[in-house]
This record gives sequence, C-alpha cells and structure tokens, in this order.
Amino acid sequence: MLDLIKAALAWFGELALFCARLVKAAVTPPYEWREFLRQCDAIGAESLPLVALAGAATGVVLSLETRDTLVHFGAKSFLPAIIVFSMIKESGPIITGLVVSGRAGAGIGAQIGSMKVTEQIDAMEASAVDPYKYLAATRVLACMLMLPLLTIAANFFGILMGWIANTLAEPISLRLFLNAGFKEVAFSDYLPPIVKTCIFGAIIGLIACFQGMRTSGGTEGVGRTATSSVVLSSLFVILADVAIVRLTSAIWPNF
Amino acid sequence: MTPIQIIDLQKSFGQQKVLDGIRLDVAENETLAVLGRSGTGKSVLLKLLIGLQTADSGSICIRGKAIANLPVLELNEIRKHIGFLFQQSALYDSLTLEQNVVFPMTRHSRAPEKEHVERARELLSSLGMSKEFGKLPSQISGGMQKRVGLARALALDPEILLFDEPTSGLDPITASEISNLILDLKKTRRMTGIVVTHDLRGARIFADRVVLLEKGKIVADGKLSDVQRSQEPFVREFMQDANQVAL
Repeated sequence: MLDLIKAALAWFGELALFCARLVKAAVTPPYEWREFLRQCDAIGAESLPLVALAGAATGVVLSLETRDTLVHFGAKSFLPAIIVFSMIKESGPIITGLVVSGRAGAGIGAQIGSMKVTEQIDAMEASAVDPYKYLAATRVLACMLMLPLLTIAANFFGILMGWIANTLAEPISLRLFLNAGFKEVAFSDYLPPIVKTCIFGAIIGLIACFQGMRTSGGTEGVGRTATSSVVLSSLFVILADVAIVRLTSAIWPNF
Repeated sequence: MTPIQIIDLQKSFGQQKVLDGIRLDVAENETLAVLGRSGTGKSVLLKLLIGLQTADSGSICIRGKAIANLPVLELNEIRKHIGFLFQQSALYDSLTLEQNVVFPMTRHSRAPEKEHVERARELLSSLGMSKEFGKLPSQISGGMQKRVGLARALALDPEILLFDEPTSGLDPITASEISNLILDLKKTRRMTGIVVTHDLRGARIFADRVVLLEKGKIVADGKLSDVQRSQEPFVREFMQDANQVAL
C-alpha cells in the first residue's frame, strides 16, 4: 500500500515537472504552427463523426427517457428546455470529453510511445529540436482548442436528434422546439461548459503526452501506454467535471 | 581546441556500473572507433556525449564547453554541431525520407523551404538515395534507412559525427558500403567522428584510432594495428574473435 502511495506521488511529481517543461516550451518561440494545425485536424476532424454520433444518441435517449416522465407529471412542454439545458451544460461536454479521451487520447499516447521506444524522440533531441514543443505542446493545445468545437457539434446533433425523437412521438416544428428550448438560455449558460471543455482538452492532451513520453518496454509498453492514456484521462475528466460543477455552482449560484 | 574531451566519466544504472572513469580525447578530423562487447557502455557513451543521458560524475567538453547541467537551449546550440546516426536509424515514421532530412533544417534555418528541400535531395542523392525521396521509412530496406539516417545527421553540416553501430544488422556488402561512406565523409568533410561498432572490418576502413572498452574501462587505445598486436589477454582474445567474424 505504501509503495502504491509512493508511486502515485512520484507520478504526480513527474507530471508537474512535465507540465512546467511543456508550458515553457509552448510559450518560447519559434512556434510549431504547422504541426499544431495538423494536430487540430487529426484530433478535431477525425473525432468529429464519433462525437456527433455520441451526441446524437444522447439526444435521442434524453428525449425518449424524459418524455414519459414529463407526460406523467403533465410537464411535457418542458422537454425541449430539458434537452437543450442538459446537452449544453453537462451531457455534451462530458460525452465529448470521454469520446475524445478514448479516440484521441489513445492515439496520442500510442504515437508518442511508439516514437519513444524507437528512439525517434531521442533523434529529435539530438537534432536540437525540443520534443516538448513539437510533440507535446502542439497536441495539448490542439486538444484544448478542439474540445469546445467538438462539444458544440455534439450539442448540435444531440438537440437535433432530440427534436427528431420527440417529433416521431408527437410532431412539433423545429422552430417551436428551438424557441421553447433556448428561451431561458443565457450567455452565462454557455461560458462555464466551454471553459470546462478546454480543461478536459488540457487533461486529455497532457496525460496522453506524459504517458507517451515515459513509455518503455517495446511494443508491449506502447500497448500499456495507450490503455493507461485512455483510463487515466477518462478518470481525470470525470473527476475534473465533478470539481468544476462544484466550483461553478459556488461562483455562479444560479447556474 | 579539442573537439571532444572526456574526463573521468562515470555512469551507472542501478547497481551496474556501465562506464567507470573513462578519459578520452578525440582530435580534430580524427575518426575514433569504439569497440567492445555488448553491454559495455559504448552506446551509453555516445548518448552522454550528445546529452541524451546525464553522467553520474566526470565531465564531457565539446570544443572546450562542458555540457553537464547546461540549460536545454544552450545544449541545443552544441547539438546543432553534432550529427548522430542511431543504431536503428530512428527515422520519423510518419514523414517521408525527404521530410526526415528537411525536418532539422527547417527548425534551425530561416531559408525558404524550397532551399531545404533541394539540399535534402542533394544529400540523399550523394548517399545513393536519388529515387526514393517520397517514400516512407517503412517502405525501404535497413541499409537504405541507415543512409537516410546519415543524410539527416548531416543536415545541419555538423563538425562532429557520432555513429551508433552503423553496420549492425546489415549484410556484408551493405555494411562495407556504409563503412566506405563514413570514410568518404571523413575525406570530403574533414569531420571529427566517433563510431561505436563491433565491425572490425569496418573499423579497418575508416578508423584512425580505436579504443576497446571492457567493464566500463578503456583497456586498449591506439592505432588498430597496434591494438591488434597487444599482449593483454582480453584484448588479444577480443581481437582474435573479432578478426574471425570479420573474415
């Protein structure tokens, strides 16, 4: 047990040093714009279909599950607002965070891990190129930028599919559904979830890059890195979500 | 100023002492072959020289500048003057051969990318790789990968070249070609080099001097012909065995 605690503390210590080195590399010019854009494409465009699908499925389930309950209490007119608020505030961000940690987190961990065990990262350092800047900073920043955009996509498909599922049970025009859904939504409802998804992106990118950079043990090690990247980033996304919701409700009591 | 100076270098991994008080100078334009059995710390020595690992004690000076504890930016300034060929070539597998060579250039020079591409093609062509610019590393043989690795090591016009087992895993003909390439580089570019190798036949081609490592210490140092005449039991045994393999 003591060894486990020691190992966990050592892991957090190394992660803190990794973050410090990464931040320093990220803010020091020259900047790796081309690699950053490539990573935005890899993380954003390639995760989009899965995120859209997950968002759409969430919208359908929300509509189907909530509808009967609301009908029971004579409050079915609240269904559009429930779908919209649920998607924007919680379901959209967390679903996107978990999907991206599975899709991109594993990919980043495995790619950097593979580069580590085949000495490609050593070769980069030997060429006087900072791998923290080229490999890690670009991926972490791309995750931070892409997560909010992917969340917007998840929200869009969730709300759209929520409307379709609702319409199949009881026809309602899209305009009416959106009017009812967004009537009470203010800008302050969007801001905390957007900030939250940036933090999710940072967590996914940081953990995947960190695990990748400390890979050892050949191809087996790369497999372990991919798995641990997904498990740890999903876990920390969920924990961060709990902490952020608590913090948000303390700062904005009406949120 | 001596290009490479190593003083009392010590390196251990856990309880295992890999390098034990190494003292070594490499003169201007000299090619030094480092011989020794597997696991005697030859590759570790090269990685210490370029700052990929840190020594437990002792010092390494590149052109008079000690590299221990240097900040990354200063260390990178020194690294720009050193080319490194890795044992498994370590080519970036997501980049084409041409992009592999261009990669360090674009990060250390503000010249237009077109110039970098031309220079990369020149380098690859000079090493016998004139038709494969657009291929990925996985699409070429091990010998070709070594050539591309060498082209990448030469991309920044280094004054010092470090080779980690440049002929390992290659057939005798390709190994001989790589050894002759090292000799050509020595003649045409007048570079200082350290070659870690098991290949005595290759060392005969390119080495001005050889050192033999055993249990982390230098047990022989001199011209290959002198080392081969050594009466030291381990040196004699190693040279006899290495000669048999080379024949």
